[in-house]
Amino acid sequence: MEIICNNCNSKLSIAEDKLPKGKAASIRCPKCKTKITVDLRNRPENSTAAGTAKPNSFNFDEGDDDYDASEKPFDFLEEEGNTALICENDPEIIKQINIVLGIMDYSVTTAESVRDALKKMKYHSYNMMLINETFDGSDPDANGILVYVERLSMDVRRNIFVGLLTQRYATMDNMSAFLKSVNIVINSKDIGSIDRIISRGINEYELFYAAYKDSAKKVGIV
Amino acid sequence: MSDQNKYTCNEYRQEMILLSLRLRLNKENLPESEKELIQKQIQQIEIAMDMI
Repeated sequence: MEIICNNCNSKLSIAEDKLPKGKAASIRCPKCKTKITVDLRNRPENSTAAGTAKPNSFNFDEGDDDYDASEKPFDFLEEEGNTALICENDPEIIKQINIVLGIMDYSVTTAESVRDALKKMKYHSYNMMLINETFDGSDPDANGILVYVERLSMDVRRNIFVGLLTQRYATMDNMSAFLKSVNIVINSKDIGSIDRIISRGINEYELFYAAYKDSAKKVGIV
Repeated sequence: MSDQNKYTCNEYRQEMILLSLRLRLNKENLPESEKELIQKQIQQIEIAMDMI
């Protein structure tokens, strides 16, 4: 059976009898050490077709490829309008964030589930994402949306301000933000000050990219 | 996929960690044991980054 690592595109050949039939199995890519999950549950027996490899068990399933206009998060936006996606379980926190982002002139959408968030991201590039690390019952260390964001190419990722809502790390802990690939960490207990936290985070984010964006504009990249 | 598309937060993080380790390695009066540990870490990152 031939498996392709989604991270480094290495081709691996594995003997069929080494894989458990009708089950999902994990292996490590010998080249880049990425964990690859081979799911044989829906694979017919004796099939010779190549298997599907899913790194870290994440199948970024945002639905089928059929276009459905009703799934677009926004019908119309001003050209300069900023948009935000909230991935949070607590309705009270969602309400507070909505108020703050409304004042900051963001058009906000709220995701119902990880799948819904991925579907919304398929149709729209958000300027801001606020993600609770336990959103939709996720394991905080294996949150599907955070993994998806972490794997975005840099030309896309640098245009999104990502805030992590957490109970584990201190607000504005830059080292945790660095490790989790987010722009800012917001501890849930500080949600009452989220307006000031986000404002400061955005200021730092804009300052961080100012030189790059100016240079990119000058050379005509953006 | 172009090379630019392969550059993600993970690559950025590895580069920054590598940079900080190299800076630490160049510090004066670094104990030999710490120096060895840092060199080992640098080697591991360089392998992961396909640099060696």
